[in-house]
Amino acid sequence: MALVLEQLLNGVQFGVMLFLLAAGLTLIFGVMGVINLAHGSLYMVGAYAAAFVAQRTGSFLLAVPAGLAAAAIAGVIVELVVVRRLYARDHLDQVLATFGLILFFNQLMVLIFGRQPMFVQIPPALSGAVDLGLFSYPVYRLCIIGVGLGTAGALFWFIQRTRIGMLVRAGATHRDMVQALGIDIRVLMTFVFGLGALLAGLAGLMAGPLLSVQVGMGEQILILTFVVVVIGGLGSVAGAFTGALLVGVVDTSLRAFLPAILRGMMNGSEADALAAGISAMGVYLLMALVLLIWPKGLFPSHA
Amino acid sequence: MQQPILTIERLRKRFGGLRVTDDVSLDVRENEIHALIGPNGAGKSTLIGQIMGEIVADAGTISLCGRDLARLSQARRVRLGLARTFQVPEVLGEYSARENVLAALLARRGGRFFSNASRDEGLVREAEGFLVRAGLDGRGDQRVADLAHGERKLLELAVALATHPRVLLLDEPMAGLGPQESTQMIDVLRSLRGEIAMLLVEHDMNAVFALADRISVLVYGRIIASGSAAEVRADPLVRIAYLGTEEA
Amino acid sequence: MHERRTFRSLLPLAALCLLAVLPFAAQALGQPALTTLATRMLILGLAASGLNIALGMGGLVSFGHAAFYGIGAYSVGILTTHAVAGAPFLGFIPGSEQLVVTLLASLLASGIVAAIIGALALRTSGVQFIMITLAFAQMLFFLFVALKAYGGDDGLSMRRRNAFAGLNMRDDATFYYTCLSVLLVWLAISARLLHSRFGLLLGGIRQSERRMQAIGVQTVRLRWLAFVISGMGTGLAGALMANLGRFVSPDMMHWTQSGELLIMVVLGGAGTVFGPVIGAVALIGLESLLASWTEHWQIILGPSLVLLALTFRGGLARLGKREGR
Repeated sequence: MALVLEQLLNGVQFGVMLFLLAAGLTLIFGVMGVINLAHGSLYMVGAYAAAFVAQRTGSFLLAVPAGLAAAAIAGVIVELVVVRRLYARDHLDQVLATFGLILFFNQLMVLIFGRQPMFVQIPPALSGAVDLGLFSYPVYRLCIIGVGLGTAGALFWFIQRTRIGMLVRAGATHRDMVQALGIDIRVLMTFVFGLGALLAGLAGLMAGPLLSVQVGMGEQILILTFVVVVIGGLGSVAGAFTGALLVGVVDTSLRAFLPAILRGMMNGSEADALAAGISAMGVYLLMALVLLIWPKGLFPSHA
Repeated sequence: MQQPILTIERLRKRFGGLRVTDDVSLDVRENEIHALIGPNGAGKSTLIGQIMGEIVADAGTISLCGRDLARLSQARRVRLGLARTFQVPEVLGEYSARENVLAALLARRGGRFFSNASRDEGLVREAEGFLVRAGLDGRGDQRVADLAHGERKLLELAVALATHPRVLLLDEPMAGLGPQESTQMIDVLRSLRGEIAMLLVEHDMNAVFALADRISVLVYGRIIASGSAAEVRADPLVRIAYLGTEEA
Repeated sequence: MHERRTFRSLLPLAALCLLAVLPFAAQALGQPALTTLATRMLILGLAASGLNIALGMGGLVSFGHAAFYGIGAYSVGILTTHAVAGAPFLGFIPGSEQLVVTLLASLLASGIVAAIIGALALRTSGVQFIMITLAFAQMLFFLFVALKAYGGDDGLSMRRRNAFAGLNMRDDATFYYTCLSVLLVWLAISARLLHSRFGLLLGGIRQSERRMQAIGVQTVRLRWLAFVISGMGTGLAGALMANLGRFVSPDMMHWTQSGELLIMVVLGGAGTVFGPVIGAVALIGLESLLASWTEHWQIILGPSLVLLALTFRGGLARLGKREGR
């Protein structure tokens, strides 16, 4: 029981990380109709910048703004230079251009930081574990869950309650209306892209102490993020949230429990390999199933 | 008395809270041109979509020659003799006008799937015949993206004819046409009278009065009047709901 | 105008002559590795040309064609392994080291997989279609990573290339000509498809699905057929690639491989017969060239792709032709 709850928390923690990426991705698609493969690269940029500052200064407090700023700045540059020209293009052109961006960013990180993965210490203040009664749980992971849920709440508030949020919602469906209000829609789009990049950077800098920071980390999580966004319904932030938690929990549970279940049926090493394979396939299977039942995802937007 | 060939009974369709088709009953008789008029947003295009099977009705029946069309795919309906044109021409821009008609001919026929279509002389000649009927003589080689709007409307007609329909559903064939083009379109449609039954959705009253044997008026998803041109013109409801606003 | 046309019609002939003498030229230049590089280009040209049936002719943006490439390759690897071990695959399919057998098997296997994936994926469209094809490819990627019986992560090595009609397949030039022949046959089939009734209807669906439905075409069925044929072509390429390097690994199914195939088709010209092959030659050529300059060649290739997507319409094969699409 304790184990199940602990894995559930792990799943939620992974889920909120996925949500931070998925929210940006889905907003960018919802508002601009752009499918951005390079979103994972922004996550990587955030992770690298934070890891670099943390290693140099030894301060995680300084690393946080560094990661956020690097990702946001990279995002705004990418939007101004490349993505802006992709709005009116078909999805194929968008896939090609942003695929090119991935190659560029990956190699750029190799040039600047080398091929060796970077490791970041969990900040001392957050390094312990907290007793939750049935089991004790790492403080850092709890913090991630807290930050993730907090960010999600703030994002919903921002989109539902503020003037800019309203414009973001309107921008998806009524471009002309936004324009008629005297808002430069291009500024709005740069802003949304920058916001998405900021969230990706946040996920990246938080992932640093859990994973190793290395080239290719972006794509790994990017594809999962796409799974999340497609399951949730493209363009829907609520869908991204649901999808992220679903994928996070399903993926974590499969990895945690499947080996034990299969080991009851066959010999150890084969069971582990098969379990690893099935768990890795699990979320894709989930996505295929969801799309077969709801071709537009769980929360289809009518944009 | 001519037999009804297309019969629609008590058809209903809602989009959210909006009743776009509200208890519509309507028939098209053999060889007649039945015009369907009504203000914008009355649900005319939705009705065509439902007859073709592109949109699924909530309730009611549609039958062709006594055969219930419910659950039949669009492809089956076309095979049974339904064809439509679109208000905004849906044509294949990269192809020549002839290839557009060829596609419709090919869709009818099975067999020799991987053989070269453009080299089948019988087929090409047949396609040419439909272009001529629609008044597009000599335009067969023209790339459709380069055709004028009026010519695309005529091409839509040629493509629809190539499916050998028994009933032709025309969604505003006059829309966007200049006076000369309108006259040409009316002439072409008139030449088809007596061969193919037509449901003519149209705003252009001159065309409607020139062509229609019967007229039905659709307002907010309901048929409010139906009859000959004179009857409809005299109907007080129509004057208020439709002609009144149009002619004001 | 007339001169130009004869020039254009001579171009494929000239290219063919060049391809025919290439191994000799490579030998004469003292660059035998060129033959292997050219073989790679031909094989990936075949893979891209397979994708082109779905992408260029059918308008289906498949981001998962690496799956078929990998399935084709594993068909060869698995049959060869079983032939060597002398134990039948799944208990009843005898292994084989005959190229004709393994190629047919790869066509069959990739066709079946494409039929299943296509039937499911074609329920969606647009971005969802891109993503669901990617998801299926990822699924197969992880499946083969997990299949320890066939090497898992490490892949599967073959001791020699499959045999064909008593030829010495060990010889790179002989293998080059084998691949060239397969490619030419495939291109002939492609050209035939493009101008067939099937091709005409498929192109119609790409331009306006609504129009085609209104004339009674069962659009989903035609798209599915295109997807299956497309998967088979790419699978065939995978089978040849397995033979070229005598090695198969899950990396062949990696999503970046799907991306590269897309790039080749677009670079060369989607919907044309020769375009995908030209695209493959150009992309691999560019990669090799950049790689010979700097190990950080991707920092140049990346922005080049961005530029390609932003500015270049219609593909290399359409250059000099009357206006593109």
